[in-house]
Amino acid sequence: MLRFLRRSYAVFKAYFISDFIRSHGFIYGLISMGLWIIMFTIPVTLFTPGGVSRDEVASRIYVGIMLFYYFSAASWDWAAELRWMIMNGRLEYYITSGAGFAPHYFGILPFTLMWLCIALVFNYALLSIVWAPPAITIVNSYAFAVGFILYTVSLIGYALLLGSSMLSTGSTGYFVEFLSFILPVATGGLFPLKQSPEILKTIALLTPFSYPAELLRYSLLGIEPVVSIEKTILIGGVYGALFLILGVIVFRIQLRKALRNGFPTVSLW
Amino acid sequence: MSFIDILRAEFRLEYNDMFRRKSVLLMLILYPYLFTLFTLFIGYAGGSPGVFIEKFGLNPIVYLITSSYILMSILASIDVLLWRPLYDSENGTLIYIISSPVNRLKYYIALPFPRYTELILMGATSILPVYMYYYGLEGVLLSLLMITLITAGCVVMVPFAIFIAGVCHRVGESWRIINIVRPIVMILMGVYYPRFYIPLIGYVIGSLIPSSFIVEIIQRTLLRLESNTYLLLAVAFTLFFLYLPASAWSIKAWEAKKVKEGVKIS
Repeated sequence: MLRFLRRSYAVFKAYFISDFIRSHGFIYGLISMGLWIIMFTIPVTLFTPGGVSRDEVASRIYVGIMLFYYFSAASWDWAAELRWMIMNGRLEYYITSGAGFAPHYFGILPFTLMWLCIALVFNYALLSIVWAPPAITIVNSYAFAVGFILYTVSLIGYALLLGSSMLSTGSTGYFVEFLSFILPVATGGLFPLKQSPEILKTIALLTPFSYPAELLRYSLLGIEPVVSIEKTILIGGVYGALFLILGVIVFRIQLRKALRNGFPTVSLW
Repeated sequence: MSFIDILRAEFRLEYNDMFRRKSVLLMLILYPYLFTLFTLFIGYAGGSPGVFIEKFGLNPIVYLITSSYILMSILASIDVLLWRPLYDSENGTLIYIISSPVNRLKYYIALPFPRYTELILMGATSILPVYMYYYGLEGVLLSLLMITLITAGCVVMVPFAIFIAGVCHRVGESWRIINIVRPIVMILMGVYYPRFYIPLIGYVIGSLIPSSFIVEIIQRTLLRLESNTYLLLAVAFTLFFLYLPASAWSIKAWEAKKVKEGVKIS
């Protein structure tokens, strides 16, 4: 256990020093991402009727951004990390060390959460300047906690599945970018399902992400989910757990295959 | 080496890469739709497409697919100028380019040409089907007009992009700076939110970007607003010529710095 923690701490320290201290990548990344978000969210004013309060719209956008960022973190920090490892030739060392991937990801997790928190504070400030301060209050803390845990579980399952594709085919950065854009949209991460077209609502409810997303929106904005709260928790919990199990199984199969056949060679983005 | 030789080499490089990496080709087709969906559904968070139609008398899908196409076209053509010096540096080819006798301005002007042909393909798979769906045969003509305008928008952007590339690569961690400059340029150009609706200061700063005038023509045409098309075109091309000496200076200064400090492999 102590060795596990020591390894995780080493990973955390390496990433922290690399991104927070040695380079200014973290700050630049935040500014860049914030600007892209502004560019994509400004047109929302063209959709907003005259009587709607600005802070209410800002709050909805903010929760959408929050879920989008968490999704991005799962895509880039967790799944695509395997690709960077293949590219840098680090993966083989991990495997031969016998430590497995767990300490690495345990070390990355706090880093991801720190990044997420700072990014959200930064975007809160940006939205306040450009649009209006989002009025965020936790209406229901139980729903928030459950929603957050279930969303994390679903995202780990997703990262494992995406990570499996990295091990088997060395999926490109384009593919990851595509998924990290389309999935939050298709799974109802960006907006309340109540307001979405029927077809999208149906598609979103077929995925495990929509239930915790609806719970989080309910807990932060008070917008009732399309399915009752109890059912949302139940379906979201069962579906999330099954999705995670599927992710673990597929990942293990792909890892075994990769150990037998070798990892794909990737060099380009 | 003539301009045609450079063009031939660039076309070969670009198209070989694209056919080898099918995902690049696929993403080229998918990106405009992806960004359209993304912005459209963010729109749902604040209101509804009905409000958009009420305000502008235009379907938001038509507007957003056009905006996404503009975004992707301009990014595709300027990215090659912004990133190529970095790729060359990382691949170790920069030293050969710097020591070659090729006219640098010619070289950098030739770089985005293959991308112009790709953006025609992108237009044929993005705005053409959507316009045809909404406007019928008239949509074909409208999409041809838009593709022509956007191609012009990408061409006038070249000296500006070379200028920015030269300036950015003179500082450390330039790729991160470029990642900040790109969205700023897109916001100021009014790709998604027309610049004639942004505050005056934004409009004035945006006027320094040549393509912003072309984007304005496209948006005014779509929204059926009055526009002084020829004047806007004239300003865009005037800026193109004004930026030419600045871009030549910028590249020269960057190269001089590289020669002085040595090429770093990062």
